[in-house]
Amino acid sequence: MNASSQPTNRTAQGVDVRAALAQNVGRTGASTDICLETQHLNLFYGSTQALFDVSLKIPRHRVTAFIGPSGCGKSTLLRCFNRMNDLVDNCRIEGHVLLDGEDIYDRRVNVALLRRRVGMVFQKPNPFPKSIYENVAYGLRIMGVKNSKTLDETVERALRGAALWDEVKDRLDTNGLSLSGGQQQRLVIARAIALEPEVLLLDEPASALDPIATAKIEELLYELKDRYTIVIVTHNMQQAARVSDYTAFMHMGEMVEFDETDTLFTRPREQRTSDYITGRFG
Amino acid sequence: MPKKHTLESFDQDLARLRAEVISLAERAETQLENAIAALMTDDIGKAEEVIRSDEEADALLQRVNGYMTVVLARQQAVADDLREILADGRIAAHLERVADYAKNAARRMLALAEPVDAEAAKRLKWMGDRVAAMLRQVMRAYIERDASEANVAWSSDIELDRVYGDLFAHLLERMRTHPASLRDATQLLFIAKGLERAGDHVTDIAEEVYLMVTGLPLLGPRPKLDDVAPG
Repeated sequence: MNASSQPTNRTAQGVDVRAALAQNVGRTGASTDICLETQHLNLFYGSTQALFDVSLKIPRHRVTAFIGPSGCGKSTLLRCFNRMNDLVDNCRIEGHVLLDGEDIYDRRVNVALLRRRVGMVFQKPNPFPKSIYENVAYGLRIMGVKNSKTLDETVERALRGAALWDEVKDRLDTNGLSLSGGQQQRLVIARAIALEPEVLLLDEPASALDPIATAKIEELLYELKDRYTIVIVTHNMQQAARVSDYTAFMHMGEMVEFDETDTLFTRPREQRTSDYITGRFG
Repeated sequence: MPKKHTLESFDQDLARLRAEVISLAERAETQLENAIAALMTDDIGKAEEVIRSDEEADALLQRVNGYMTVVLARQQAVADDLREILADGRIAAHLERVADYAKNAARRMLALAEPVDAEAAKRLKWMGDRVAAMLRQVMRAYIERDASEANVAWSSDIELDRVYGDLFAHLLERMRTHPASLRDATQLLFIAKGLERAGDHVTDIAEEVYLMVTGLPLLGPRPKLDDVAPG
């Protein structure tokens, strides 16, 4: 008997997510609800289809990891959650993407406000060529916040939240680009959480970092999930296994399997998942 | 058999670990067969050889444990690979216990004053052959990744329990009617109990194989005649 023929009444899409959530199963053991959801999502770049009928429910205040080989659509899917794909020419989607039950692709949605609710961190740290303080305060200033006490408090709170405060509190005027790669990535996370988003999207946030800096980012994700719903794309399967509560395996634009991370990495249902995570792919 | 890993060294590591487990199973089976043969033929030399050879089973277990640790450290195993590595360690421990029971049978055989009586010999031989056959079956299931075969082996322990019960009754009767045989009959009772326990270890291996292959525990009550004799 192989993994794909194990007794199960679950399917690869949709139903398994509900089953997982019905069991109230995250590593925290706390009850949870749905923050983000895709319903029969198809995405096209021109005539090329990149996502195929993806239905997925992402639990609130949990870490969900997307894994899969290069080109499988995991970053494309991630970018649907804050409409970053709007910036790509010829990109077209069908289906629905819901945040707190509301379709974010509804034409009445203010995309700038959406991106405040759904922050994003990229593979390469991208601090602005400004001081550490101004990097974190930037979003608030754009929103028109001028009160220096409010700004000070928010900068400190965000830097503490990003586990960077102790390392930079005595040099907030230093240029953010002078920090190490790992510190820059945490600075970018601080910049994102300064705006109190609901969701943090992270696209390979540690792939350019050394193992110690990577461990700090992973630990940070663990701490942040109490307050934010986190979705992370990673090529590093062990990272997904370490940091996430739920894992989605994607292949060629399809959501092959979504389950609790503990289950997916010990008893995957689908043969394609098993082959990928055990290194037997292709 | 599963597809090959992209990383060939991972396949080699797993194959080597598997080979160590199979070697230990072959050693345990040989020990069992030799102990029973020594008992049937009253061959003291063969019994002493079984006792000496137990060190080899211990060494094989240590090799499995050592290599399992290395593989876990080197390869970040998940899913069926992880289940297999963990199962290898547990299966090896059961196999070493089977070899231990064979050694204990040989030791007790050396303490016998008389050759084993024909009735007891027949049943002890049957039990030894049965455990060896179950062991071969369960290791075939291990090698072939055959959960169904493991399930069959798991269920087949009941006959062993039944014959153990018969032998237990026979030896009690012999103690009652031939008080001079008390010492030998007690030794034979321990040998019989050891074979029955060896059978239990083989069924435990069947459970490990089933879990390793399917990722699911082998649930449900195993057919067992617990009431035939005191445990």
